[in-house]
Amino acid sequence: MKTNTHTIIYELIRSSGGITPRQIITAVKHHPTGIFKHLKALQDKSHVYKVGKMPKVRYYAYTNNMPDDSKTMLPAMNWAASGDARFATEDTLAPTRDVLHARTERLIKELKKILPNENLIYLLTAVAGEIGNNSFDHNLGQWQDTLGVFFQLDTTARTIIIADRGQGVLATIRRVRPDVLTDDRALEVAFTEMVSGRAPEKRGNGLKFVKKVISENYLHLTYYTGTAMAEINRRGLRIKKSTFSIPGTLAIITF
Amino acid sequence: MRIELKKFGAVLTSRPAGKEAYLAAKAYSLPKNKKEKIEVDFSGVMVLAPSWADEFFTPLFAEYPNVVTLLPNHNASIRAALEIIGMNMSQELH
Repeated sequence: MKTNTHTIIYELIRSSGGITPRQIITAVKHHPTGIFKHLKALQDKSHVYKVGKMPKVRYYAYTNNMPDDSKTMLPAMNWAASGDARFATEDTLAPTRDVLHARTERLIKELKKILPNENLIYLLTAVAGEIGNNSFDHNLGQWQDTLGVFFQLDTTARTIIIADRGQGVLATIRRVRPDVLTDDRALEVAFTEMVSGRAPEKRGNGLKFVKKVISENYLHLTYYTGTAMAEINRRGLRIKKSTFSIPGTLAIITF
Repeated sequence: MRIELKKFGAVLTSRPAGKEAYLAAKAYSLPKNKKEKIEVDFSGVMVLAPSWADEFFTPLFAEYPNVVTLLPNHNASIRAALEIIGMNMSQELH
């Protein structure tokens, strides 16, 4: 029966798109100790991951990182992949840095309505600001079609989505590291190495900052570029092939 | 002298803004005497990103060697941004 419970819990997490331990315990009707053992086993096998600290923990299935039925995720994904203007509204697009700055300031106010931890709010805003400004730093004059970034907070799904229609990480990295030939390798370099063509400026540390904050604060980031994706959580960085292609970048921060 | 970063905004996130802030500080706030001590006060700043910090502090420390002190602050965003660009506040916080 242990295997059956294991499967039931996994299916519950996968189908929920994010669920609390209490909801799992209520649905499965088993002793909490046993449930947590199953949850740990599922995490050890990299089937699920958790975001947040007790008592604000939610479990997600790895195969369900981008639920197709999410009302905010799907437009963002479609916009990042296609540039189709129908998927982005004036509210979600920040065509200039000034607009992006206003959105990041508004992000603080919105996050304060749902998060009690001010330091976490400021860290999330710094991460979102860093990712959004990266788009402008590396794509000015290089946009494929739409200028600027897609920037959206979903307080229900607890996600911040940032996307651009720029040239992608590989094209940026290859300017200073021509030996890098693939999207997944470019992501690895971007998140782990100090790449700078402008010493003594400490350029190239933005995504290292993002990785550090995400992994140290029990958050989760999925970052797509080209045909690769990076996942960052408390266990660190994992890079793999994506099932779809994003010409620029698409970042989904879950908190 | 003491330079209050909140005068440049509570959310300090982009490279151009950091660069502009440094140039403005150099023109109007920073001392002409490069041996005068400078204290950087973070109180009132909510968010600091490493891009802004790099554009502001790298030239500040280069042009005013051995006289700049970063005053302690508990804000996690400020501490994380400074740490990633290799800078520390003047003393440990408790």
